[in-house]
Amino acid sequence: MGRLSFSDTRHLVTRTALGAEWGGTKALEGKTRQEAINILLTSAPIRTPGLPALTPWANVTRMKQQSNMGKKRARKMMKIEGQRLKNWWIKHLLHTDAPVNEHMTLFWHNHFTSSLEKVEQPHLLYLQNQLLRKNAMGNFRKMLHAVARDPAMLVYLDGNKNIKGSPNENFARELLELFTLGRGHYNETDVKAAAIAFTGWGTDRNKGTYTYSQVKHDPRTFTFMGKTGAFSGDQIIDIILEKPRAAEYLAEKFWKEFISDNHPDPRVIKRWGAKFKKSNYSIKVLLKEVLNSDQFWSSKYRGTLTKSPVDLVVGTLRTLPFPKLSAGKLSHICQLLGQDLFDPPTVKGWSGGTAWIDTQTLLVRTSLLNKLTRHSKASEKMQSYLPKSTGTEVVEWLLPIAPVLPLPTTPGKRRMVRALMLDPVYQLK
Amino acid sequence: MNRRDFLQYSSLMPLAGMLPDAFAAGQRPDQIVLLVHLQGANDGLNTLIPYRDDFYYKARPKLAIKKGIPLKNNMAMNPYLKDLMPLWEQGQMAWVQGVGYSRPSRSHFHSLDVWETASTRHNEDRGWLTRVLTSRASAVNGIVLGDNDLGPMGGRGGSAVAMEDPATFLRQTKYLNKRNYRASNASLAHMLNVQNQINTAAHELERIHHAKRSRVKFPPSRFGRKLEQVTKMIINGMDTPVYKVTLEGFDTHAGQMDPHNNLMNHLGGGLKAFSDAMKQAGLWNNVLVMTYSEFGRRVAENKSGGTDHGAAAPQLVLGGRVRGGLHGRQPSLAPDKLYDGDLVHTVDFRQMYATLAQRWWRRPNPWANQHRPLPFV
Repeated sequence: MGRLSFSDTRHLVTRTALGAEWGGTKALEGKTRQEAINILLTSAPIRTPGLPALTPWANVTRMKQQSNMGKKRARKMMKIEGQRLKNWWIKHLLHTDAPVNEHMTLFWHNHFTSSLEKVEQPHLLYLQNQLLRKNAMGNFRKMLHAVARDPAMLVYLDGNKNIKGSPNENFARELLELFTLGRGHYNETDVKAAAIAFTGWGTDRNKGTYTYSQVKHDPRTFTFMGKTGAFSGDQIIDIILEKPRAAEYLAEKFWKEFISDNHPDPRVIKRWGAKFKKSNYSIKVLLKEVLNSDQFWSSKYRGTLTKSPVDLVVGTLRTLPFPKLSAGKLSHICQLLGQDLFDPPTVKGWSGGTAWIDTQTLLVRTSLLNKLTRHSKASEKMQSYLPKSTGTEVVEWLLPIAPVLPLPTTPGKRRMVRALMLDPVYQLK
Repeated sequence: MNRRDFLQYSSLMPLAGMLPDAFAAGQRPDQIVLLVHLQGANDGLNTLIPYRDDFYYKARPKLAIKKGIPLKNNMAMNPYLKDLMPLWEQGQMAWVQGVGYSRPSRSHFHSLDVWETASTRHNEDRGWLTRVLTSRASAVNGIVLGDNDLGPMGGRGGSAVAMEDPATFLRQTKYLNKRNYRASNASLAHMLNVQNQINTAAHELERIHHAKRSRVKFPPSRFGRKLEQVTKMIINGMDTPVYKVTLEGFDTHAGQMDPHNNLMNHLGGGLKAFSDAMKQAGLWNNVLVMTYSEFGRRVAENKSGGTDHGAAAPQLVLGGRVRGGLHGRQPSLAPDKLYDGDLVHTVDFRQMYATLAQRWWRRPNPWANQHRPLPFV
């Protein structure tokens, strides 16, 4: 197998990490695919910044019960603390030493969505976020069991309202439709049956823990996906994961995340799914399989994925030595660009792909990059931090394919970087 | 990087995409819709008033409006909408009563999302108009004024622009690339298409900026100014079938009476000026105005002289080709007919969209399986 060129390593890094830091990208040049992937997937220890101060939920509840005024104040306070949590994550995205793990954390946030909008309690979203981070490259089975018990998820998909005699199917439906199998691979009876299995699951919002109530649980026998019994929620999850389709569904999501918006070749998905399942759902095994595939490296797919707002904003600031903007500002920009962290627009998360770019967001993207690269006192300093390299290499570093607009005719590092960043191809990875 | 490196590189660049773009202006569509979002959730019961219903007065000892303008079938219109009375008399004002959906959400955010995406499951990110209208490469299907959210025109395949006002939009678009380029993959092609949509809209708005305005005098409010801007775009032939404006301030939890009447006055005065301007331009038959809101308000007033979040409410439709009158059925206010203190809807809101799609635009109705159009146009 050949050795990776600089353009290859940039491809690998921008699609799996957050931006492409010069040093790290350069270091992988000349390695084989496998060597480079192994280095990339060896994570540095993860240290998240300190948690911002959050008011205990009991105090919030008390405030809400006092009066209409108190209710309003509580809502406002949660809004402010929610924003603090958003800033906290942006800060971590910007500074983490484990960008691949963080990229995957964001991927799982979009798979197992929950929103501050519905949950209202930032602390629960924080706990969920840590859960996703801890399992981001671990075992999918383990993560799914943990997510089913996750307090934020129990609130977000009304699992805490799913009780004997009055089932709420929200979680059961999304478990099948969005988390494991996808539409067309289960029927309405399965949804109803799964909902029964999860009755009695709930959460203690004050403690931020999972609870189980024997009284609220419906112990009846039912049939789920052809099997009959009085299954528990955990058993339901394991029955689902016995299906090859569950692994293939995740393989499809990886295809879309790492390779292309186009539909994948079903044979490739079958192969990846089989490997994933055989490894008992090791996320690292699936990721390695994807990154080692010829499809991942094919020139056909280079520069065809649209950068997410986080890719664009955080990625740019991790890649190039621009003066850092405040976390609050960055979080606001991501929101304007359509990726409000902890507040995905629907239960399906962000649709991503070309949908990242619409008439609103293209203007915001352009204006952001324009402001960042505009000549100023601060940008003068940046000049000395730019790597010493050739023009060709700078183009390969910042763009996935050749620029579509003409480059400046006057030489100059900063001018060149500006032109490359304002080229439409910079929006792609 | 030195000069030699750079030149070496730049010589590899093709000279493609350097021709200036011509943004072809199309023609004004024959069927235009103006959407008016009554933001904050409008109190339907004090807008279209069941003035002969004892339950109304019982539920609203302080807030009942006694001097409504009687229309028909025991329903009256808020007196501060009096500017619109000529439209009622001419049969160009339709009220669709009891519009809502099952298991309604009382959250502004969720319910607005329901209205704008026409999905109650919170799993659709395309706006309802995105699904009704086909995206065009040469023009935008919608202009949102006074908000930066594309709302009912957002999502994949949408083609609309949102702006605080045209002047701000023109400033923002200044830095957007104007050149055409060769799009070698689908993502680039999409980006180029979006770029062209924005530039076309900007080009048109620049032209309209210098064009004539209507001689009709609009109320000097934020709402009036937005309607005046829409008017200017329509009479100067902008190739856009949908406009959306917002009237803010309907979340009347306390001390509702005066602020709500004031909003009714703004709404009536603004839409009166708009209809006058359209009539003067000979375009009233080509325009349909429709209001919408997140939900109606609770039947019973609260202790602060306001109303809390409710459910079903009437929608107002105006236009030269509108079939005036009361449509749909007014929900009962009898306490045992309410759901959790709220009116139960008699018309699904998607019937409104189905009507616009099928009977106004003569386009396929995306909700044909469940929702039939109504005869208000």
